[in-house]
Amino acid sequence: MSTEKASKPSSPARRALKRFAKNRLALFCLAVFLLILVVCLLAPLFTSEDPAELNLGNTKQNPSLAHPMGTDILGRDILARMLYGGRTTFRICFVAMLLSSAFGLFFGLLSGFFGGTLDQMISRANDGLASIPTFLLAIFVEVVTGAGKGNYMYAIALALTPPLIRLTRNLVMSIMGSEYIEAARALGVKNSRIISGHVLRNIAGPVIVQIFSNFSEAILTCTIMGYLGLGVHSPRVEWGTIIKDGFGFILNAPLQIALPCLVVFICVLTLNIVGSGIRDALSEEEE
Amino acid sequence: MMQKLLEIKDLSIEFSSPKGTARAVNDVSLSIAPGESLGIVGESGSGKSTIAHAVMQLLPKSAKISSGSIFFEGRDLLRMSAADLRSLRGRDISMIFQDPMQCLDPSFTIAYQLVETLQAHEKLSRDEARKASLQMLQRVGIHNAEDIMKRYQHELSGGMRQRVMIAMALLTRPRLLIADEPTTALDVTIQDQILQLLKGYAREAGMSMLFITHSFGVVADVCDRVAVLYGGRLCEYGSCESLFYEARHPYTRGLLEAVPTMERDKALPLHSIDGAPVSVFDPPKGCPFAPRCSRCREDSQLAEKCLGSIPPLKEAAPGHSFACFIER
Repeated sequence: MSTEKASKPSSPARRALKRFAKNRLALFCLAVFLLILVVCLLAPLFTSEDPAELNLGNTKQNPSLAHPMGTDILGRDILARMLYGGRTTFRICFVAMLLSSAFGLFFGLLSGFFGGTLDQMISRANDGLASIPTFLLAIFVEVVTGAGKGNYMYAIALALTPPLIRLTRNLVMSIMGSEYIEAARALGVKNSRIISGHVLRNIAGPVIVQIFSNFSEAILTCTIMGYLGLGVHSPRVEWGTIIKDGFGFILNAPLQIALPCLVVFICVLTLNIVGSGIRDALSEEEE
Repeated sequence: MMQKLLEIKDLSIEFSSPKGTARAVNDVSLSIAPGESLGIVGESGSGKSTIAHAVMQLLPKSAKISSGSIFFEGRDLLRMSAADLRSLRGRDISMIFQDPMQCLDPSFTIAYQLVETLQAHEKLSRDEARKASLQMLQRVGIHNAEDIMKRYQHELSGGMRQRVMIAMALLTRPRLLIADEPTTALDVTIQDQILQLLKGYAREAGMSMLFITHSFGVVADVCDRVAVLYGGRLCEYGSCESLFYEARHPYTRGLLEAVPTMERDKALPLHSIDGAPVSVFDPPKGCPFAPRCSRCREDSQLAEKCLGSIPPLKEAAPGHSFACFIER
């Protein structure tokens, strides 16, 4: 009893945060990613160049002080294009992640909590959704809604949703048998309250990890779509289109494609390391 | 006759499973008067927990109430709307569970869960609900209640968690408390404290209890009346006194003989009932206990009768009934 009095109450979330703070690699990666994110979001503060301004007398330059990442075939500053392009890419990925999380959580919770016929219907529809090829869907969306506006983000959102629904449903089902859910019911707590409180809080860990990895997956898919020509049209840019522009000169100006690819690589890698850091911090709880 | 608080009439419950239909409860009738405590005794699989869950209307989806009715203060629980049931649960009928390790949510503080339960039934501000929760924690014997409120489930001992669970169940001053083996997971000294606590509170507040247990010791301590269940059927039902001193059903006698006492000859092995419990998938045609009954084994004529038909409940004395063909 004396030790109980001496110690401070500690919530599972706080303990996980403490463990995460001890993971140096994950912290470093988080810092790197946040740096890229902030620099992109505040692009005008970090570059005075216009990402769309042509300079035909100054094309395919190697990195220099004036143009830290060089210039492309039309003489545009690649750093400025990467920063402004990052804005677009992050916006697209963020919307995709948000939409997929909302749908995934909503249907996953419904399916897992109520089970039975509703679960069967949602799960089968979800299987159907998962079987649609993302790129086909993206092309379809672009054709229907008009190309080059970045609307393929809805296709990415749709592609990220099924695994999240499945994960949420399985997690909810695994805790539905818990005595604390039964106890809450036996004491007359409302279903809505049980879902938004007990259920959501207890599945939060793995779901957060999944949403995190969804974001890095979205960056990759988004870049690939841009590279394949589904990206936003000029004057707007995004990372995928920059890489596509550089691809034509991969032999005589390799840095034009290598540097943007490196940025994407670093983003995805750091995000994945942060994600597994969060997973480790949360899963140690179970021991 | 006095108005019954809870009245279960001819209740039968079936479970559907891949192995077939399991008849977990068969034609069980029980009642509890206001302020009275009823114990349900039986071994694992006898249907005692199923009855408790049926009263709470918290049976799993695979279970079906095939016949019978459950009345609480004259209202039929089986015909109540989901919303009415929800407001009844926790306010009029509360339940505490076997394993206090599992019934508190690991992600929330004790305070959150107590306040949530109270606010589900009464229009109270957070502060008022907190205050009431604090008082209830103190009432169930937690001295450092202020501190406990801020804690999480895993920071408390088993006995402490069960006290918290009891406080949560009693917060809304229910008229009936269903206790599903509340002390099984606790060690003996804590068991006794918890039983005394429940007994004391019930007497003080005039609360009825439905006590599910497999221990006659617990029943003798806490309950006014007791129902013995075997294979989903009622074997014997009556006041604790008449049942303990004048048990009529061979199963009840077997159970009572199996209770260790201080006076018994330690050289002799503890009495046990031969055989294994009945299968719920393939219930016998006659008395479920007949295959294990020592009287049936001695008397083949009797055995034929017992195995062939189900003995009806008969009255041994006013308020004491039993289901056996053997008269004495």
